[in-house]
Amino acid sequence: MADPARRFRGTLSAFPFPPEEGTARLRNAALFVVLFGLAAYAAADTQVSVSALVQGFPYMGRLFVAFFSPDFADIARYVPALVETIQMAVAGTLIGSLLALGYAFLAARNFVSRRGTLWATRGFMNLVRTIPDLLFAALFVAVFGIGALSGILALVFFSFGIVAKLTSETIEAADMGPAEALYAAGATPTVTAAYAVLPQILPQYLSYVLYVFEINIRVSTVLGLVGAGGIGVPLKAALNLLQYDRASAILLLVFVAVLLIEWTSQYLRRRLTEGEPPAVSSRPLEVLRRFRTPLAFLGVAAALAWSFWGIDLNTKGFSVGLHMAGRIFSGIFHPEWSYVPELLVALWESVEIAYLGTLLAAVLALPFGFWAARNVAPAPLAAGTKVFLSAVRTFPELMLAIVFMVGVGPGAYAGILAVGVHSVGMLAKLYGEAVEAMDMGPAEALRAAGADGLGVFRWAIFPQVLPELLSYAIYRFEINMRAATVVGVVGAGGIGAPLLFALQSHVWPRVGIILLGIVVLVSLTDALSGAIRRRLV
Amino acid sequence: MKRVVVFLLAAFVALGLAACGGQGSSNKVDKLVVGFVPSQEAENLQAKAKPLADLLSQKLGVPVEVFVGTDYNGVIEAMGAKKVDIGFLNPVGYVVAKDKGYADVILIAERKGQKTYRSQFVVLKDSPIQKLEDLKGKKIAWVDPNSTSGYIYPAAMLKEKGIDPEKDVQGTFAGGHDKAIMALLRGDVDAAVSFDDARSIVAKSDPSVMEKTRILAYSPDIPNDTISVRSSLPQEWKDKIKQAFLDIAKDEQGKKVIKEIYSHDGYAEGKDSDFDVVRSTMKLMDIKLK
Repeated sequence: MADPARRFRGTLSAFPFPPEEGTARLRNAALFVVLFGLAAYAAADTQVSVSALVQGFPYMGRLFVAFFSPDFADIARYVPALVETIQMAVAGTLIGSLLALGYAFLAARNFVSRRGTLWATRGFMNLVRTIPDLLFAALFVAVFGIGALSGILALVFFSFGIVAKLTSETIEAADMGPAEALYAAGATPTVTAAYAVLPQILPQYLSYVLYVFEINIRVSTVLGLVGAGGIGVPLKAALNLLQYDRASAILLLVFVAVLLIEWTSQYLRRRLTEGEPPAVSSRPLEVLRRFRTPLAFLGVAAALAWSFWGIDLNTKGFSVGLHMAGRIFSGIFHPEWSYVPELLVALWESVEIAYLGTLLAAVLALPFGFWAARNVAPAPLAAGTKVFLSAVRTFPELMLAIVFMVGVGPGAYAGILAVGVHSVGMLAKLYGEAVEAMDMGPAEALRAAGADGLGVFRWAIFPQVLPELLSYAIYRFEINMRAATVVGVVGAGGIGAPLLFALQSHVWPRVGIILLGIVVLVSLTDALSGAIRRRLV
Repeated sequence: MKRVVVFLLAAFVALGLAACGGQGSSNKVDKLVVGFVPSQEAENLQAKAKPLADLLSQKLGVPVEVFVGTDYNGVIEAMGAKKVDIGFLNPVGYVVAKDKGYADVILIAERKGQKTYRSQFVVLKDSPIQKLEDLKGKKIAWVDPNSTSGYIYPAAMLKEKGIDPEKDVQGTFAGGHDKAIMALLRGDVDAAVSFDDARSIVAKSDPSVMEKTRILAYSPDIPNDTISVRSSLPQEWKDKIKQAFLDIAKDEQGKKVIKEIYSHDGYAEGKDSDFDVVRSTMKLMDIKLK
């Protein structure tokens, strides 16, 4: 510790380090310069400015005053839209998840041995996952027109991508002994899958379905902002007329509905994952007996039927829609190459939004994360912080973007703040869970040895959870990259606005090149982030 | 481990640096931002608006930037927050902005010498619908909940005939004037509303649209879209900007530029009272104004 060179490294010595070799130091210094340089450059480029934010407070304050006096005069108009929102979420989740269940087997390495087939199935699955939910919605609105149909289709694709990926990973981790025995006894692959693998993975799968449903409920409330039906439609109308008191009434309604649905879903998930699933079963759907099987089936069938009840699917537009879809595909295969320079500028802005938004969140979430942890913060503070964080999480990025645009004007800076603040809600929750799960031994030892609170935190708590916190932050960057391609649809910078304009004006070759750009960018981000996280933890 | 710390430090320093940036707010005007709300063919609006910004910059002697919003909320709020100085606002957008105290109208656009335009109800040629009262219980394609001629005026017309535009007809929002007409042509709806005459946009892809459809009714006159400036701008600048637009509309090159953006042929003096008709129509539609 008494290394005099340490003192010259200024702030760096504020944290404990294992003694390191010169090369490692050099590498760290280089990394520091790159990360710092990139952050500073991006901040200057997107005109990040604290004083602009401070000056914007009065304007945002105006908006909050309106938000805190909700006007429920029109509630009768909102309820049908809210019902449609829930219907969309149910339909999208069920259809997408059912398709994903079968597909997951085709993408599982222990079920498909042909390299080529696997490459194709996994490739398609990953491609679907690169497109953010709202971009799907904007695409389908361009194809099938405004309304619930476009919203449902967007949620179908979005749910499919997530559930298929998670389920195929679960299948790959399944105990294959029973399956091999059945197969050796002459069962067909389908029968083998149904009787020896499905019972094992079903609780997990259903838990994924409910998890995606929770996400979809939140997403379906903002689909209307791009025209894809649901409660977002009256919300957008209220926002465009600057009637924030009505907008806030709608948001409160959504908030209550989302909370109720989440609690129900979390209760069901707990019921599902009780006890060990059977490895092999004479009844593939054994796990559903916890809910009394016939009832479970009736429930799913009823939910599906109800979710299409009274929804105007505008099926006459379908033929036109398919024609449009054809044009989008031809646009993707004949992209407007001359647009690439502009595209790169807009994509780079999306990268800056995601990067700075994640940095902002990673730092801001630190105090909240520790305040939310029961084992380091007093109980009332931890409980209060958890409630506060879940309230922050209910505001979708797009809504936050609208709020920040009032404060700092339209553009990337508003997008950074929106992505950052929304991520704090999620990151701090994960941080808190990581802190709660850590080993308190070293901290108690230090405290017993007479260290003060700060010392304990610095030497025993922080170093232990840091890799995990960082891993969460980097994973959040993947999610934020997707968000940063979307915030532009309300005017908060990045590639969102050019894509929206190209879709609205039916310039398919440009839509094609932008989509290609987004897919490549998101795939690169995922690959890079995955590689870093594997080295970290 | 160390790289983590470095990462966090980089974040702090970057944020610290950023804090030094920013502009002071004063009434000194050293640049102007013109805000556009996309209508048709928004993908090239930025490019089309650039020449106008250059002309304005020439006439006013300060740099002029273009901002293309994705919806009205962005442009109006930006004017309220002094981020956008000049806004091409539609009638409803202007009334909302004015009543919030964010913007004042300086000019009204002219098309073919007219300061006003109309909204229209369109039905198929052989439709049994002959008058507005026949629309009760029918399917209608509106444009957008905030569209002056695509929803607010025509819906108010139905209301005056005793038909509740929300309950007595099955309305869907098509998301564009041309898309509303397309929905009618496809047979998705019994009637469509649009500005007069959005059928010409559809005619580019389906020339038979004129024979296939007829106009059921026109709305009363609606004042055209505006050029508005943010209320907090000093009066001398408001006057200078107004004069600059009038000059641009007089010269040959300027005419081309404004025609290209929103097919404006010229600008006429506008005053707030011109929009009282819009206000009363909005009131009829329960749109709260302060």
